[in-house]
Amino acid sequence: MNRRQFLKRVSTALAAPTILPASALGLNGAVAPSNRIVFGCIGIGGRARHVMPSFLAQTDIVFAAVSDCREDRLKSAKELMDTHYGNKDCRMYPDFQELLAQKDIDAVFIATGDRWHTTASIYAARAGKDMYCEKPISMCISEGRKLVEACRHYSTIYQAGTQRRSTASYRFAVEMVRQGRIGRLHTVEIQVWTGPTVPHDKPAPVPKGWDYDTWLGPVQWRPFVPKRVDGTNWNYFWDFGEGPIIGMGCHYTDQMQWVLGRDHTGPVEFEGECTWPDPAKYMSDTPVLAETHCRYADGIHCVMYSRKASKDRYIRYIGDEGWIQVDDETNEVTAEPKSILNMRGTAGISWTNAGDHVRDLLNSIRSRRPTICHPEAAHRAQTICQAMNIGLRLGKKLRWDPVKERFDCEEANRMRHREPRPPWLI
Amino acid sequence: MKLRTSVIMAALGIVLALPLQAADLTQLIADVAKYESGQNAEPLRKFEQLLRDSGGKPAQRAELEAALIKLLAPSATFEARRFACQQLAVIGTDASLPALAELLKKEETVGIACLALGSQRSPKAAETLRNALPAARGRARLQLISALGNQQDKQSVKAISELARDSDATLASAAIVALGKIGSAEAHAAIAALRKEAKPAVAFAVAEATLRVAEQLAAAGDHKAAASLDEEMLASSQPANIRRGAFGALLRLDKDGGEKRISETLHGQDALLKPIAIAAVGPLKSSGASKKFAAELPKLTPQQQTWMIEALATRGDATARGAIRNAAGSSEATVRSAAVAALGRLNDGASASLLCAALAKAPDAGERQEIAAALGQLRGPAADKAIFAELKRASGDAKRELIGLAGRRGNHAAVPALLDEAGSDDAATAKAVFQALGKLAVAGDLPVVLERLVGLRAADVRSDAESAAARVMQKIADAEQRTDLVMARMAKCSDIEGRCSLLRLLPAAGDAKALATLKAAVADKEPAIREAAVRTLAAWPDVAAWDMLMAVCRQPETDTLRALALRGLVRLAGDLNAKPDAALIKRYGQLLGLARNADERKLVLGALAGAASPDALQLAVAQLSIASVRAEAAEAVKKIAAAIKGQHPQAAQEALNRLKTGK
Repeated sequence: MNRRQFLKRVSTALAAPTILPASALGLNGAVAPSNRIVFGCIGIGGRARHVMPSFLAQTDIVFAAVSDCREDRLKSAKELMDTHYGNKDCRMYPDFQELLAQKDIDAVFIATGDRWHTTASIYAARAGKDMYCEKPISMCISEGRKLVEACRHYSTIYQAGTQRRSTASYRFAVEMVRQGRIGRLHTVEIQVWTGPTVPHDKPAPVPKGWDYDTWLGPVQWRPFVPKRVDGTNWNYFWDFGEGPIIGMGCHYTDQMQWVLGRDHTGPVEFEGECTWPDPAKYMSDTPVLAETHCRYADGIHCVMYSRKASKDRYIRYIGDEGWIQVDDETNEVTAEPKSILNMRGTAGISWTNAGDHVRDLLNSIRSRRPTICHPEAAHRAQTICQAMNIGLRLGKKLRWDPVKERFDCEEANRMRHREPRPPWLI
Repeated sequence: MKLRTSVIMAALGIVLALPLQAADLTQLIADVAKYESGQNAEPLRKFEQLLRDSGGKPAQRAELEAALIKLLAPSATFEARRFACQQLAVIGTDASLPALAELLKKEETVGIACLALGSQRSPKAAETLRNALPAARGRARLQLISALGNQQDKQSVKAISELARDSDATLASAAIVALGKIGSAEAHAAIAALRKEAKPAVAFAVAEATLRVAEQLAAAGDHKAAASLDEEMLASSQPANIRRGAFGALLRLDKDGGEKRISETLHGQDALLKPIAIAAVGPLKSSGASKKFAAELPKLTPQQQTWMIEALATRGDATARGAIRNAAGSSEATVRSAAVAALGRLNDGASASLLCAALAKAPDAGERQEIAAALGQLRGPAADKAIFAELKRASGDAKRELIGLAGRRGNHAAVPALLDEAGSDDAATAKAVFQALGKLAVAGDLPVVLERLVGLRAADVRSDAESAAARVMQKIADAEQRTDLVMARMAKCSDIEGRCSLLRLLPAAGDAKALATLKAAVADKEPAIREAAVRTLAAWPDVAAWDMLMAVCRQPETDTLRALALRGLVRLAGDLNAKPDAALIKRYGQLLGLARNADERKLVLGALAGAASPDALQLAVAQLSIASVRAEAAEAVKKIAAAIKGQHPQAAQEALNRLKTGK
């Protein structure tokens, strides 16, 4: 594919909706309560608290209820909402299904642990709620496909929490690539961080106020082990997360798919190598260091490194006339030739502010047009990371048919699916 | 593949399995069988590695599967059995089914058994699940129903259909959803029967299954039957999300892509479906759709108009673009805003003049920014031409937006228009011009940029103009050429402020000739020139300015110039800290000798603290005896001692002892 063909293809494939400012919807003043979108929050730990200010800054929504399977988090979530709104109105539901049954709630913000993302999303869609769901949007490829189907069956408005599509620095980089400022794009280089490890720990009684059965959700039962569930440790176990390649990598594969205009397809080949935690010391089972590659049918190549520190994460687009890179920690954009940077208007907000991403969701809830990170786009971006991980776990090179969503390897195909634990059936 | 796995593993001390002998497998299985959380996980990881290594080796794989089957025995821990099921999910064959069937009989192990069986697609795996269903109860039964649904096991339709009528709504709903997934004719019939029964407790599950059936029928080519089901689900008695889903499905089924249905919905009263109808205008394939729905724009509410504009923008054809251009002139701000954003997104070059005109008329800063953002997205020479032309015509805020926009667009062709505006009396405009020139002007433009700099009319712009000129100078590789261009302009400049500005550019040239010019300027007859020269020397990028600054310090014309020179010297010394040689220590000695008071001494100590050498430490220690700077000297001593203790432990320790004892 030559440069002209590349540019033509991406320019015709760009279906990114414009993020209309609230003013375009006449929402820059006070919004009548009857015109507000009523939200509930499902899962309100560290991630929810990080993103919540971007929601609370919107004048046309109100959070009416919160749900968490941990009593301490539920109470502090209510405090957060009540303090923000200056009242005592926020309702608490230990069982998220009760929250979903509330007729006054239009939409939900899902920020549970990864294992719950798809299941909670599908239950919310069944309950007629629109939603913003944190990434990774699924634990396996079949879950992601079911999410897409559910959102289609119910015409659900769904925004995946890959908010960098709505972030000025990333949009700038994408726009420069689309405009051909680095020539024909041939390589996307991604760096997430070294996969953390979790030392061995023994089972212990479930702490008071913690509904562990609900915490596990669709994951087949395992004993409660404090260090496995503490903080963000669960990220580093196959059952609950899959480490930075999945958790952070999906932000970048999402950008890659977007810049290429391939939200409905994906690469065709995956190959990688990794190191695993020392099993004598650690019980976590996700990669530590990794270098994994994928390739699209037209030869565009992506390499994802899992290495170095979290602050060193980046995405770099490399073309035959230059490159452009976004450093996530600093939100700094660098490029060669440097003249590309002259095109940038303002520094803009960084990924830490998801306000524009939330705004895009709210616009879509009213207009019923797809969000910028709609389910199919999110599923395809997530599939890339999951395919990379499957390749690492099997230790083999894989071919992938993005139309049939099948590998050329039966073992890999089996790894597309995980049977959920009842009653959480999707 | 560049990852040096072995090196990295060695660095991390990672122990991975070496290939095992067959005899070792028995021991390995025994170890895995005892595994509980908290124990060494080496046996598990070794087994996983063996599985990876056995790919393409059927005999070895069979041996490993047999080992995993042994792990399913009740004598193994739950976690060991769970581990085995996780592996069998990937490599299990029919050989593992009898052992997994045993696990299906117990509530506590049915989940992990389904973990193994759910991924297997063999008829016998489905049969194993099916056979376990009659005896299962509670969650186990839900688990099996789910697995059979995911397996699309046609032979379990009868059993699952019976469960779909259970009085337990959770169980019945799970069964109905599973029937929807199975999707056989028999399952379709079962769902149809359930629809007729219309039990409220399972109504939603029936609706979900029905939507799925409709999709399956459509995929099989029976659009008529599919549409009939979707129409049924569109009934006003159905929940909103079912109705929306059915409407979307019908639009996909309609031969005209839903064009007629969209039209009818727009003219109807169903508020729930109108937004979906508008959103569906975008993908319509009919060539007349843009004309038809653009004509609807005036009949819609302002909010609906914004949605329709987005939909037309998705279409992007000439008719749609024309309608959006018209909407950009709407009396409704929300509609204008949506239209402007859409024109930018469409890269609609034909709208450049329209947008420029709108910019001039925009009522507030927010709308101006939105229009400028849209103009920024327009590519190509036609858009540039329109923007540059409007830049000349516009005034005030609009002109400034266009100037900034010209800078961001990166087209050098804007430079002449910008240079024309550089002499503006309006400071904000002139500042915007120079910021844009800094980005766009190239080496050949420098003489004219310098001309505009010395000819500045607006107040408070000088700093921006100098920054722009310095930025252009950086684009000239040859330092001598940079200096010559500045000197050439200086030779013709009689204006004091202009000459000062040119002097301040000399560090951006940075060569000996520029430095010599500054040296001469330090002795100029004009006080303002002399001050500008000293200030510029103090900002000189390297130590070449040292002697000149020392001379100013030693024989200062004013205290201000002396202070400036001293600060410049301290900065230069600090810049050399990475190489704390004898010459640098000598420089610090000179600076301490120059210091007239405690404040100046503190300034020097602040820089000295960054010089990691025993000699620097000695200099700092010597200052401890001066009471007025003792605290700063102590800080410097600590910092230097910490930096050198690895290489000079004794010197560092002695200095720290001096601190403790005060001697």
